[in-house]
Amino acid sequence: MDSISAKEAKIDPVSREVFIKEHIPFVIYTVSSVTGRYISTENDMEYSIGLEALNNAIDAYDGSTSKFETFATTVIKNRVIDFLRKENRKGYQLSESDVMEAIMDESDSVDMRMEIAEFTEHLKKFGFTFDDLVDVSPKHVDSRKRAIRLGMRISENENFMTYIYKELKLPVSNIVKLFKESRRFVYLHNKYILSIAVIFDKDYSIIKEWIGDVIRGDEYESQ
Amino acid sequence: MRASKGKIMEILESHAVVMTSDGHFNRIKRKDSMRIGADVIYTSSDLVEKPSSKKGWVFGLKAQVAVAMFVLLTLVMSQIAMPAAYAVVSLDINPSLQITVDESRKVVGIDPMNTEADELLEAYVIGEDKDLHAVINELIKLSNAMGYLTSENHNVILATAMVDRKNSKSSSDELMTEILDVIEKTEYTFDFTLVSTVRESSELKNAKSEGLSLGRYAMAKENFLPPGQEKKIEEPAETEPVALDAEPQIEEEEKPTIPPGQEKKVEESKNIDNEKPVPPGQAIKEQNTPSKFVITEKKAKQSNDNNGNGKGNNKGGGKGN
Repeated sequence: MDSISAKEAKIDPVSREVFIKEHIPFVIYTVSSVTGRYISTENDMEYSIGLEALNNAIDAYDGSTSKFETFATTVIKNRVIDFLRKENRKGYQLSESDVMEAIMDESDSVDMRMEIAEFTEHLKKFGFTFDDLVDVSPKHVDSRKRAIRLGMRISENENFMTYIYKELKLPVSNIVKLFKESRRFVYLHNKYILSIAVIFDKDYSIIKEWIGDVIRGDEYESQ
Repeated sequence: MRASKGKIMEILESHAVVMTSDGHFNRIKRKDSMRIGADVIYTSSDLVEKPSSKKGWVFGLKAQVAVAMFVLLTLVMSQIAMPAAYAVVSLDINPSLQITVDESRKVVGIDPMNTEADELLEAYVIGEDKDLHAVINELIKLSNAMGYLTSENHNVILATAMVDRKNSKSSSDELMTEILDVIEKTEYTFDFTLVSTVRESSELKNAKSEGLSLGRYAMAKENFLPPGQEKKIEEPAETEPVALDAEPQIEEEEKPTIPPGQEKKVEESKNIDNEKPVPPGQAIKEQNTPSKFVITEKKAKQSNDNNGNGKGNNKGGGKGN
């Protein structure tokens, strides 16, 4: 399907919606390059301003001067810079609700950080880090689902987990026998499977919640 | 461009690691205000490749410093510890050695040119001052102690060459005279075959490419055998004539194959030499004018039958020039 042009988006509301959706990564990239930070839940205001600026750029673009992206980049950057200047001038005048929200957020993030720190220490005992997992985690989403499911099942087997913490490795042969898994698959993704087993065995609830979407998606499909 | 959402799991020197909500791990660029556990939205332009080393730029910096230090050290060592080769002395007792010296006559290297030389150098520990005269003295003593230098075998082929003749303050003949002085002062008696050449550096290279010492190379090239090997030449050559160039390994014990014509030439030269009046103690023979080398025999006053008793026999002997 051909992508929608800015001119089409200008005149047709449906095309505009699709056009904006297609340009979300572009907005994220532009906003992030102005702020020097990643877009996150803590600075989503800037992201909203970026999206609004994109919408305005569609209206203002006449196609005569430059490419739409070049034009929109200038519009988004200017708008975000204006917002940041205003925020700086405003200073730290927080309402009571702002303070309560910040405390709640902070307590969540402390729990999260503690959980990740503990998980990091466990991985170190097994001789690898998150950085190593980048290279060994399954690339295809189906393989990741399969590995996560296997890790969950291993975590439910007490004997397996005792062996893992003692020997610092997966009992590959027994896993292959019990779960009828391919030996190659277990060997190939053993670090990833082991990490998932630890997440579920140690009940790292925030991380479990984070990756739970993959499994939940499966459950919806199977229903 | 594609956008993804991830939770920051690890922040490293050069990048951060995020886990996406579908369980995938990615490396992304480091940016301001990154916190472990924060959810960030990133695009494909933020993804980074695996750094070349786990230690990142710190290791890279260390490696660069190490390389720079190594280069610097190599340069300094080449200037200080490894002085430039100035001259080469080729000494063939039978251990065939090639000694490289610097301008101040300090030995900068000794190359063994045959297995006997390997054995000799294995037993030899060079002194701290590395003085050429001392080294030659010690090598001769060691050759005697190891049984290479005997009453039957006291022939020495001595060759000298300047590495860069044009820029040398002294000549190879002067160097040879120095060495002869040193050797003659030892307690042993020798028959010398002295080799000199005009094309010093090029012949040095040729000898090296043949795997021979300069002296041996000259002997093979000019079809000249030192005194101890004369008999072998006179033996009837039953084998087919072979070009000398094709068989330069004169250092091997086997008899070299000499074409009939050339064999005669050597004998003739001997007859001529015998007719010349020779001063006592200086049986000097000059070969038929060789094309590249001047090979001179310098006999001791009398060949000593006892290695240890030869002292003084050749005192006052000529220098061969």
